Amino acid sequence: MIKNNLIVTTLLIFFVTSSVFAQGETLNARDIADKSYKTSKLAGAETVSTLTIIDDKGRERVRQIAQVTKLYDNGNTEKKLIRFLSPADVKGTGLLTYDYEVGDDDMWLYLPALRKTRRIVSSEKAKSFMGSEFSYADMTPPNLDDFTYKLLAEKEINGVKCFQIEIIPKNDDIADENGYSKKVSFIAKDDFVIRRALYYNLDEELEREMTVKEIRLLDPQNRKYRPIHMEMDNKQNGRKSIINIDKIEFSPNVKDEYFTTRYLERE
Amino acid sequence: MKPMKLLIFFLLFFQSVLLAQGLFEEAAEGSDENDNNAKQTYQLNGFIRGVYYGGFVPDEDTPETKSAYGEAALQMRVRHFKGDSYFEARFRKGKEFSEEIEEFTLREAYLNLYLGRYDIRIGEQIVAWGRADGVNPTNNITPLNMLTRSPNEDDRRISNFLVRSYYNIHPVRLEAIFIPFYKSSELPVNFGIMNSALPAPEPDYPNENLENSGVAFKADVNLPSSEFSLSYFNGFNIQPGLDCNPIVNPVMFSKAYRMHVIGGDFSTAGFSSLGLRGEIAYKTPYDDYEKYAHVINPELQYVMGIDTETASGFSVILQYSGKYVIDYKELPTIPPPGSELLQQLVMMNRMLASQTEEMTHSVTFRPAWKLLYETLQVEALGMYNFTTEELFIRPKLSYDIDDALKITVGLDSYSGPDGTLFGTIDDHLSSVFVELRSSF
Repeated sequence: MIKNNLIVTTLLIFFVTSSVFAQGETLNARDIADKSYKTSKLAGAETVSTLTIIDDKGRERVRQIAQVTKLYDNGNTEKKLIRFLSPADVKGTGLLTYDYEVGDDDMWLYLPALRKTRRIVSSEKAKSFMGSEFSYADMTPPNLDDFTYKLLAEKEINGVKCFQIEIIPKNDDIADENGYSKKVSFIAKDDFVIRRALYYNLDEELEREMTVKEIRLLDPQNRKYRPIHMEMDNKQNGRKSIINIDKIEFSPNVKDEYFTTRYLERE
Repeated sequence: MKPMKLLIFFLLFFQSVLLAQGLFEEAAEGSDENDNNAKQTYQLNGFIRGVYYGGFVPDEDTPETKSAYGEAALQMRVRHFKGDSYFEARFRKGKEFSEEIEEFTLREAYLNLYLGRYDIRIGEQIVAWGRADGVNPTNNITPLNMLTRSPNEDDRRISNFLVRSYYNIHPVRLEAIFIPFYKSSELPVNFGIMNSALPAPEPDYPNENLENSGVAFKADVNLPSSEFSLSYFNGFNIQPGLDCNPIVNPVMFSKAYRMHVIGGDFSTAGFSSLGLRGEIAYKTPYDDYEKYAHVINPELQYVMGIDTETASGFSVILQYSGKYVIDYKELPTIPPPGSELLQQLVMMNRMLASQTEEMTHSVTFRPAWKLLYETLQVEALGMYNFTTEELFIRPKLSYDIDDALKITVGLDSYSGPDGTLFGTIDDHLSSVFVELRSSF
């Protein structure tokens, strides 16, 4: 009898723990953040996006961007080429980035007015992306080891059950580089796609709130998603920026030629 | 542009065959895959602008309009089989250097062919070599119009007809340029340098034949952490010298001469928040520089600079540039009898070529700040030559009124002691400027 009870208890513990593990609840906060970054890492993709910048008086400025990405080195390096399509005075400007999982990225900027490609210093990721409320840091996967992670709670965001993760830069330099002292991310439990994020500035005040309003499954085989519609509200200045991906294609075999300074200079 | 060149260009320009493309290429090229009936294979852009330059009448305190003109530009890019073609024409009307102007210019017109590892660009085009900022000793292919009054530095560049080809074996890019016809820079020689009551003789430039053509080669290596290049140029100097024939006419005229230039440059951002770049070139003329006054001495010019940018949008470039003139000889304080004109000619040529001293040391400083969510750009360019004490500063402020309309105000200020280039042109070219530009 005692033996039978022991077997039943052991089986019960096994099933319960398996069940919890399957739901991801035994994942720690870092694992969840890692899964979240990896779930949006497509082998290759081409997009055309519209960036709408709305100031505190409701006036809009609209930019169009074409982007192509591809993963290299077993997914440890993402190469990305961005070309600005409009407005006319930035048309033809191109930005080529080699985004490494560890270490500083390599970035080259092609400005048609200079007729030259210039290597640019990449450490200042906190810089605004085209004058919007999004920063370059928001557009690139971070180095996971630069932050500490804490699972705060589980919350529902627009009907989606999410992990609430607190992400804190490990030191002031990393905070400066990324432009925030703390980030609270809401990551969906089922697909690990981020649905909402709160960014606290270096004075630890809530500065920006990002909301993902639409996602799309692009690589069903590997369960890879991309946010299609993102909004960033600046709580400090009343400005808002919206990135809407108008067209997107999963292109794992995108040409390597795109990720060269030679192609960057083709207007 | 010569009729034959025009014919070749337009034959190539309008042969349009579409290629299968990815989304990125289609977007960048302006195609709309949702509208098959009107698939767009060309892009049309351009701008209109009004520009005003104001200053003082030379040697007086009286304000004057230096330039006031309106300009319209039309830019068209056509995609076609294995490449694209680009065309930009400008029409300018107004007043410049006290004269009414009404001119049409073909700014660029070229054909690109992308043939696997080979890229070819043929036509009227602009080449900008060199990784340094503003001071580029390896950049000897595209002439400059130093009299252009425009807030945009690129407007000084003058296109010339070139055949430019590349062979790409990433990370190496080999480039060869054939320069069939000579085109000279426009020099600021009419401000106390070459002005005379007598008519100036025609410039002495090379005839259009094969032996007067030029060539240039560059090997560019682009590594993830750094990039560098080695280059060679063999052709007529885009900046001609001055010569005169005192027996026929004592007035100076421009005269081109051939030279070799061996150069190199590099850039890296391997120092965390600092970028490092440099450029060097050794120039040596074909002709005997000790015999001909219009031919410059061999020289070694080098530039080294750092740049950085902060998250707030502030960036700064700081460069040192130096020049060493080989076989430099001091001119006598009092020229020997009968050689006064020759000595004046040599002095003028040295001034134009920045060879008045054996060694010169300069700094270039370019802070820039993007403010108000990148709608306001504040920039200042400063260049100071410690040896000759010449100074150029150009503070500039641009504001995007909306996505299509921009206003720019600024100042061009040249200064220097008597006998220097900036000291000679300062009253003529120093001015404040305003530009209102609408782009489409």
